[in-house]
Parts: sequence; C-alpha cells; structure tokens
Amino acid sequence: MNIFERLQHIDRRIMYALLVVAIAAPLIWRINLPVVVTPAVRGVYDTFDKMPADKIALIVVYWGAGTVAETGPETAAMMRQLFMQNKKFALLPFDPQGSKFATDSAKALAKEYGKKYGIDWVHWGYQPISNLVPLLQSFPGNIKGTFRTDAYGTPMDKIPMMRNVNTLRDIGVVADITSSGELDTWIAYVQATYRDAKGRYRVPMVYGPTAIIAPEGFNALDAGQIQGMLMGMKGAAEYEKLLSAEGFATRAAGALSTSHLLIVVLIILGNIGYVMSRRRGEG
Amino acid sequence: MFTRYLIKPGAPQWLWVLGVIGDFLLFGGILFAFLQAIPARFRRPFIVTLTFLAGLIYSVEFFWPADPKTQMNFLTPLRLKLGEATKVVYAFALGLGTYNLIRFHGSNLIRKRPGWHNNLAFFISFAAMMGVGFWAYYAPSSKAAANAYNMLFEGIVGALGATMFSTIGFYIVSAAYRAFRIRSGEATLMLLAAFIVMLGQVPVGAYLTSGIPSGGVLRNLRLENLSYWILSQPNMAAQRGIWFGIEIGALAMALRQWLSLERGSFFEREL
Amino acid sequence: MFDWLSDSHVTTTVTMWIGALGTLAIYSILYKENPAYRLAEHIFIGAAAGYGIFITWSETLKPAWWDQITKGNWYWVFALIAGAMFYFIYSKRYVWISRIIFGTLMGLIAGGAFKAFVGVNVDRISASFKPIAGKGLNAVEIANNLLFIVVLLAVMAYFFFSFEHKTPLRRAPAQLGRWCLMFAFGAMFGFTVMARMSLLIGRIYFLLHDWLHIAR
Repeated sequence: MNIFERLQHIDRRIMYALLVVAIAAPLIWRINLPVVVTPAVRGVYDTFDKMPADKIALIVVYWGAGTVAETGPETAAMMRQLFMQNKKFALLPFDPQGSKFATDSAKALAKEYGKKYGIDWVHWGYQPISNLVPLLQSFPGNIKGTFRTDAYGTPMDKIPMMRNVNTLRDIGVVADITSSGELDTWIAYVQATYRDAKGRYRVPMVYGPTAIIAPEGFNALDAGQIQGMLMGMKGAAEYEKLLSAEGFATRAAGALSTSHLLIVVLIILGNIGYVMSRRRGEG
Repeated sequence: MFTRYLIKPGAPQWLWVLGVIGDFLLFGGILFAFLQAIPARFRRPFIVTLTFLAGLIYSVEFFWPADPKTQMNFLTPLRLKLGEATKVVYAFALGLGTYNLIRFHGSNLIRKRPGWHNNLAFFISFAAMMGVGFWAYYAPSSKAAANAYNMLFEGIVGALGATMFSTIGFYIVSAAYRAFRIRSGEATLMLLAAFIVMLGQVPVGAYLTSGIPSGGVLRNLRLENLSYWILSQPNMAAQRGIWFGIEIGALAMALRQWLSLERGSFFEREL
Repeated sequence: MFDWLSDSHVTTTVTMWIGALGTLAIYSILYKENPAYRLAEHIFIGAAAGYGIFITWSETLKPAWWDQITKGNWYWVFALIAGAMFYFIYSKRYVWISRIIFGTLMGLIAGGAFKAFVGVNVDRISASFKPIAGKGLNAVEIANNLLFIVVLLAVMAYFFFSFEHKTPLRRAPAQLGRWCLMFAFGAMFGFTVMARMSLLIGRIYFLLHDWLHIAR
C-alpha cells in the first residue's frame, strides 16, 4: 500500500486516539482563542436585557442528559443573566432529566447571587412532552388554572412571585432551550395566537438549540419569530463572554477548536490520498 | 361512586387507593361492557367518529371567529379542560414503554439466556433508581435519601446518558473522514461549506483569519463572518425551501389522520 | 450500614467514581464489543426507566391527578380509565379498545394542525417576500435578498415532483436547487460536528476535571 492509499485508510483507533488528545490537551493546558459574539447571540442578550422587571421570563427546558454539555451551559447562562439583572424566571421542563439538571443549576446560581426560590425563581413542574400542544393552548390564558401547583406541590397563589402572574401578558420573554425541534409548536400555538394591537408577537422569544438543529433556527430568526439564538456550546461561550462570566462553555471553546481542526486535517489528508490515487490510477 | 359519596377529603391515603380502585373497576367495567356490546362492524366507524370529533374541537376552535376583546370563542374554555385532562392521560401512557422493557428483560432473565446477568442489572438499577426517587420524594428531610438520589441520578442517568450520546462524536470523525471525498462538484461544494462553517464557528477560525482587517469590505472574508453569512443567508434560504415542503406534507398527513384515511396500525386488520 | 449516605462528601466521591467508571465502560465499545459496555448499557437503561416512572408520578400524576381526587374531584378517576385503555394494545382480542384512545388523541393533534400550519408559516411566507429595490436598501442587502429569492425558488423547484423534470426550463432550476441544498447540507454538517464534539468535550472534561482533577 503506497502512502496515498494509506492516507485513505487511516485506522479508526488512531483517529479516536488523536481526537482524545486534541480535546484533552486544551482542557489541561488552556488555549486562549478569541470568542467572537455573533448577532444571533447578541439578540438573546438584548432580549433579556430589555425585558421589563415587572414581568417574568419563562425558561422552557426540553433537553436531557444526552445534550447537557450544550444545553446545560445555555440554560445556566440565561439564568445567570436574569439573576444578575434581578429579573425573575419560571422553569418549565418537558424532560424529566432536564428538569433535574436545570433545577440544580438554578439552585447553584441562586446561591451565588443570593436569590430565593419562590421570590426570584420558580419551577412549574415537569410536563410530559406528549402534552405540549394542549398545554400551549391552555396556559397563555390561564397560567394558574393550567399549572395549579409548582413542582413541589405548593399552590401557585401561595408563591410570592406568581401572585401577579396570570396570563401570557405577565411573561416578558420565552426562552426555548431544546435538543429537538418543537420551537415551531411554540410559535404556532403561543406566538402566532397572541399578538398585540399592531399584529406583532406579544411575547419575544429566544431559542437555545443544540448545534445540530441550530441551522433550522435561522429560518425563524429571519422571519422575526425569534429575537435571538444560541448555537450550542459555542453560542453559550459567546453568551458567557457577554456576561463576563466564564463558565464551562468558555473553557471548552479551545477544545472545540482543536477537535474541528483535527477533523478538517483528516478529511484533507483523505482527499489528498484520494485525488493522488486517482491521478496515479488514470496515469 | 366510592370516591364521590363514601370517602371524604382528609381520609387516609389507603382508603383513597381502595376507593379509586373501586371506581376504576366499576366505571371501567361499565365502559368495557358498553364497548364490547358494540357490534364488530360498527367498531371502525365508532373510532373514526371519535377521531373526527376530537379533531373537530381544535379545528373549529381555530376557525370560529373569536371575540376581539377576549380572543376567545365558545370552544376556548374547553381547551383548558382538555389540556389538563390529556396531560394526565398521556402520563399514564408511560407505562407502555416500561412494560415492554420489563417484558423483554424479564423474559431473558427467566429463561437464563446468554447475558442474563445484564438483564438482572437492568432490574436492579430500575428498582434502585425508582426506589431512591420515591424515598427522596416522600422523605424530603432525609439527607441520606437526597444524597442517594443525587448519587444515582448524576452517577448513572446523567453520566451514562451523556456518554452514550457523546460516542457519536468518535463515529462522526471516522465517518466524515471516509465519506467526504471530492468525487463531484456537488460534493466539493458541500465540503467547502462544511469547512467554512466548522472553522468559522469555533474560535480557531477567528484566529486563522485574524490578519484580515475587521473593517471594510474585506471583513467579510474573515472566517467567522463568512460562516455566519453562509448560515444566515444561503443556508437559511435553503432551510426555508425545505421547510415549506415539509409543512405541506405534514398538513396533508394531519388531514389524513384526522379523517382516518391513513392506512396504518389502526385498520390493517379486522377490529 | 447506610450511614455513609448521610455524608455528602462520601456520596459525592462515590458519584464521581460511578460516573467515571461507567463512562469508561461505555467508551470501551470504541475498541470492540465487550461485557463491560453491555453491563453499563443495561444499568443505564434501567436507571433511566426507573427515573422516568418516579418523575412522572411526582411531578405530573400526583399533583395533577391524585391530589385532585383526594380533594374530592372524583371525576378524575375517568382519566385513569382513559389511560388504562392504552394497555389493551397488549391484548389480541381487545386491541381495538386501545385504538379508541390512540385515535382520539391523534385526532386532537391532527385537529390542531391547521392552527400549527397557519401559525408558523404565515409569517415565514410573508418574510420570504424580500425587497430587491427601494429606499433604505444598500447594495449588500439587495444582493442578499436576491440570493435568498433565487435559492428559495430553486430549492422549492427541486422538491416539485408533480411534473417530471424533462424540459430544460424545469430541469435547470431543480439542478440549481440541488446545488444549493448540497451547500446547505455542508453547513448543517459543520454544525452537526460541532454538536457531537461538544458532547464529547463535556464527557472528557468530566473525566479530566471532575474525576482526575488534571484539567482547569
């Protein structure tokens, strides 16, 4: 086998080993590379920034353990901005694992910023995803009728921050953080249904998908259906830069760079082998 | 009847359990007898009618004019009640998947098929996670319960779940290496877009083209700007085109489901 | 025997080790199929299923159903009857009863499709009519909008299968649409790689930072 044929058949175990090294090295010896904030991420920050303080944000969690590395930092960064700016939020998880991860994250951040459950944040309780459509059709008009109690069984009326939160008008921003594509369900049943007098969506919405479904989010971003979007872990790193709060995403950005570089190099090597082999074959 | 007339709020939990079981058997039995009384030839029309009526609620509610002040029509209050009811009904469906798992693993364990110890491990971890969860829930002041719950959730569900998904990262490297060959113009174009986005979306892309001025026309050649332009312009347009196609197909499929025109698991055999 | 469970330091350490050993067991599949991977896989499936049961009860069924019944709202028993109908799917003789509940729920979802279609697409359709001339538009915006229109129409032409792409007038836009799709798929692949690498980085970070303490 000549060199060009070898380049086309690199053993996968060598590639796996190289990948582990490419990821581990920047995590052990920090690489500081510039994180550039994209307009989509800036949109998320600005949307939360402009949210009136008398309204609450609704953070919808639809992700589980499988995507915690991407959606976990996204969720944490959003909660961090809200706590930093003394704004309140409610967690609405549609995944049982995400419910626990997001709650743990909220508790840790609440401790960091001196925030209290029931006053600064609340958990509306895990809802099965199969009930998404009926739920979206009922809660905008009557939040307390739909979610009678929080996740811990406390009636909503007894939770201080929920006293004046009754309908969608009392929600300032909806943040959909997800590993699957149910953004359009929110747009259809909430955004498009509830508009202001000028026909604009009543509630701004921001999107926090995993990177796999992020390209589809540009569709909604262009149509004005969402005001901002985080794109996976890299988006979370950009967001952390805006908040001047380094988290896991920022630390991992270097490893993301080296792993991508490795894949590009491997593909180039494979193609060099392919092209040269073809030329030799044709010759 | 039991829970309505015989048991009052404040009664012990075990009495409520008995009452619910009694009502379930009573009303469930009546419903079962009624359904069994339906002749076989009327079963399909019965299901088709129910499916149609269920869909009619939401579709009429959408098309019926709403009061401009309240944004509601006469069917809107039904939405709230349906939302609550279906939430609970859907939750009961969780048992379907769990039953399948128990049946599969139980069968392997009972028959001592090769690898039966893995099936035993399944049942142990199933019982442990569920048991610890309920322990932590019903004994909220117990530190041991909370620690045990966190231990199993973070150590098994969280860690292994994330690891399962992350193994795809390895496979994608070897798959990309083997599959991405510039065999044609289209493949080359695809590869070019992939390279620009892969490098432009990570900090190394900004570093590689940091020598290009960040102002003026030339800034568009910086990898991070080029990548974002690709995503927000040509990619977005293509996504929009794909999306319209998908949506029209989805609407047609929904119509077929609503009108029970779709051949599938419902009616491929006699009811 | 279980006193150590009350000590958070001990349980945190045990959690770390369970997670780390489980992670390495799962990754062992990358070398080849082995018993450690199979065991870890089964343990995960069991724990995830058990967790799902617990969380469904504690966060949905108990507050929304059981507590309602014990407060005197007896009619919620009918939700149990409706939910029980799902399980007739396992009976060959009475499977048709499960079709009732499946059909009803699917009818509800299908009935909402009109709203979903209009709600999502009206704004996207109107946003697709981009201006290519007029005040306030600079050359870059005009060029981007023109590109958008061309790509959108080409991609839609590619998916238009009602007529065969025989004539050059039908074939050319479809061919251009194909090229545009390949370009978009390349961009999507770039993001797919980023997503998978992110998940992998998360796990390796856990091993190096949380478990071995050699990453910062």
